[in-house]
Amino acid sequence: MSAVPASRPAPSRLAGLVTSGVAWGFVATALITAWVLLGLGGRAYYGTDLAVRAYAPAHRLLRPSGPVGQSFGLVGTVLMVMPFAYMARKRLSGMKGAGTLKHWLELHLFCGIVGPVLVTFHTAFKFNGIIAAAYWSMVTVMLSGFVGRYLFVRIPRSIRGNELTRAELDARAYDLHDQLALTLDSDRLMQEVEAFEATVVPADSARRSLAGQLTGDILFGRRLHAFVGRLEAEGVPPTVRDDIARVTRERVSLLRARFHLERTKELFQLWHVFHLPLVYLLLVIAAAHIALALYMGYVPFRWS
Amino acid sequence: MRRVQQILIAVLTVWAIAAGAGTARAQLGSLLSPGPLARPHASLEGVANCAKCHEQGRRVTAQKCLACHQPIAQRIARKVGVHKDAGGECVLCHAEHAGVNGELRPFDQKAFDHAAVTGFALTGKHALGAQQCAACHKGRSFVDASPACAACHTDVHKPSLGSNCATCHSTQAAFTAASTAFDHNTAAFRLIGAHTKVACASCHIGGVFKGVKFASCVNCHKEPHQPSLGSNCTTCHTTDSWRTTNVNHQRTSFPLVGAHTKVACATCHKQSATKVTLKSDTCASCHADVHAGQFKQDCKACHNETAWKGGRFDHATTAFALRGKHAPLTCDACHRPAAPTRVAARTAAVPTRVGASAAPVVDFRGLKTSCVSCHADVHQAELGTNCETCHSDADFALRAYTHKTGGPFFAAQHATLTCEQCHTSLAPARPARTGTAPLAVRFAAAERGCVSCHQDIHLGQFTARCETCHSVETAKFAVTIDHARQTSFALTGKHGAVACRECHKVETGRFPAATGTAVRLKGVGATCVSCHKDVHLGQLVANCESCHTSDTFHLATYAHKSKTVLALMTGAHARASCVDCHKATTGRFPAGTGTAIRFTTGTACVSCHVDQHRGGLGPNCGNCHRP
Repeated sequence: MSAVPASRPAPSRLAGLVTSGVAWGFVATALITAWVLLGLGGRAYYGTDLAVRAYAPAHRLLRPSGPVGQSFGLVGTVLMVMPFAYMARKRLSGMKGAGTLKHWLELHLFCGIVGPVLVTFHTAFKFNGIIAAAYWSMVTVMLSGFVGRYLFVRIPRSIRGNELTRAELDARAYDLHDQLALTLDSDRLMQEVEAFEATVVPADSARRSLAGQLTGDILFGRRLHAFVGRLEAEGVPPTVRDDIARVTRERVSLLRARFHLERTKELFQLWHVFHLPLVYLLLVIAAAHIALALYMGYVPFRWS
Repeated sequence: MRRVQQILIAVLTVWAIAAGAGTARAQLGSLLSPGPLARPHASLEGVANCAKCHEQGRRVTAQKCLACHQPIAQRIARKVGVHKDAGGECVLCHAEHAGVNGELRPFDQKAFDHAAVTGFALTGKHALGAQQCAACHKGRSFVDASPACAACHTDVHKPSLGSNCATCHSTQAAFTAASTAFDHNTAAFRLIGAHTKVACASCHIGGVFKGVKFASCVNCHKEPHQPSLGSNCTTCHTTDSWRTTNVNHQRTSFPLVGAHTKVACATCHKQSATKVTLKSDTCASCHADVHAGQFKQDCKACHNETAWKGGRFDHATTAFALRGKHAPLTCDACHRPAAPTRVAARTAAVPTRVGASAAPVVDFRGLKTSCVSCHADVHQAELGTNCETCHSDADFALRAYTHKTGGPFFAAQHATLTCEQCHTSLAPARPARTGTAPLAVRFAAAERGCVSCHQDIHLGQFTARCETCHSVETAKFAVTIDHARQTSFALTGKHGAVACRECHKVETGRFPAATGTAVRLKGVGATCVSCHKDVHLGQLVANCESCHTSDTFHLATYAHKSKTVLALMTGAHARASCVDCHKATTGRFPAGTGTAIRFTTGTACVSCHVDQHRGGLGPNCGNCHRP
């Protein structure tokens, strides 16, 4: 076996979720939303007509300047600033020892999801003035974050987070192939796996398109599941089927990423151009918003 | 790539400002504002006005609010009204920047305790408006409303009755029902009777409550009587009702007597307030002239005031006194409703009351005195128009009548006949009113021949008059006839004792007048065989009278005329009787098969005698024997 740096190991699903910033982001979002809507009476409050909402029972708590509403604004702002730590980790040499880039990214994703949620409750769904521009910029940044993550995971990286070269990528693919061939010890099964790979991995001469990449990625899971189902019908033992599924999933992902690699990298670079300016925009307006609030006397923790 | 990023940042910045500005009406104040101000504060929109409410570092203070809302500040200071307990910042209760329709003064109208908060309890009719603040609070400010009635209600009495409306009005009743609060007995004019039910405005016209004159009824009530009956209305009327029965009609020009005393006032005084003066001297003022002027409204001639019907009228004053059967008749037995055209001319000349009955007018004047005016002429003018010749008004039936002509005819058997036996009819023989079917009776034009009453039982066998044979003098018109003289067949010998019916049989067949059953009197025939049977069954062609007579059919003697027979009538033959040779024989005869004495016998001996020799000696018996 060659000393090829391993790409990100394929962790178990549960292990993956435990360290997933997106998963924790969604969990936190669900909990916060349930607490606000059900625990604090937000469901009735946000459903009340704006003209008289100020006199609803929950207004004192949930209004933007109230204890909960303002706290959401504060925490949300902090969470929206936190992603810059990921940038700092990436770019500042002094922070290179401060944890892995992956963990910083997961934190980045968590904050990028929960922050907008908290800010949304801070607005009490009332969008006026230029601060509304900041809000919608924030929403756009958050949604673009999902796009960025999609592109990011399709650029194979080493366990340390460094991008793999094409040669390293090919070597890893061969390793996986050999690993599977040794495990199976069956030419027939191996031929079936290769035949399946040929259906989900485009040939080098095939036309590259974003739509093809998206649909292929979406359909791959279903096709793999169907393939494993066929193996089960042929009487392939479960342990062997699991090995085939695990290795094939990683190898096909590598090969599909390799096929779209250039385009993915281009898009990811372009994404940076789009993602970052919106963040600056929202931070500038948010800063103005905070400054004006403080100027008017709406200082934190002084609720009347 | 860096260049692209810079361009994108610039574009996004412009977009953000444009979007925010577009949302907030492209004003800096709007860009910074958390939302539009409510409509009452619309004039404070704009960045230049922020400081009018907001204070650096102090948010929105009550001082800023009350600087404008002075009336509220005063009420807070006086601790009255809704804000009597207000102490904190206004924004604790009044929220802004919730849009142009944002509610600035939230409160639960249903739960609002108007009495406790404002000191003005919404009772009675006001309670109905408790849910509708705007009914009283017309302006935007609630504090503009005053507890004084005139603050909301128009003082229609201004300025006559002062400002204390509660003297007459209460919140428990409508303004128009002021009497529920005002005790009119405290006024100079106490309300009694029907006056208690009259609306105030009926007397207090135009909202004038003071100085209303009431000394006389006519101050309020119009004088309906023309000419006026004076101002002392209470002579007839009371305060309970205008329709009073308190009028002493004896004091009027028409004292009420008889049936008039029982009539309700309104029956004659149909129009209210006696607007029309009744003409008491004519009945037609009230009563419709059902006679259409036939009596020129001289009602008293027949009617009196006791009752319309049953009035006595002396019919003897007319040209037709009612006697006998006519006396008990009711008027309408003869005086019936006339044809419209018949009275049209008269009704046109005589005015009748409006509303008179449309019933047909009874014709009293047009009836004539002749019997046929009422009675039908059952004789169809056959006997003329002078009914009294036979009938009287005591009874229509004829007690006795003597025919003035045809004396002998009405004697003997005709003497006991009743009229109806000859003058018969198919309809009831009773006098009938005009319009009923006439009776089929013939008197003057009746047939005078016997057959007009009697039936020709001979069915035309005789053309001579009945009197030729029959007479009224004979019982049952029996006939005695001289057969020898009156017919061609004299009844001689035994014919004289024979009953007629022996020869004149009852036959059914054709007769001169008709086919039927009758005694055959003519055409019986004079020959013997017309009545008698030919017992010889046609053996003898000679007349019966050749041997027989009408005295007896038996032959006393007979002499054979034939020489052959005479030659045989010798010896014992001369002593022999007829039947020794002519025996009764059954067999064929000229007139048919039957039993008869056979006259034609043979001359041979064996025709009568038995051949003892049984033909052994031949047929000629004379060779040995002699008669």
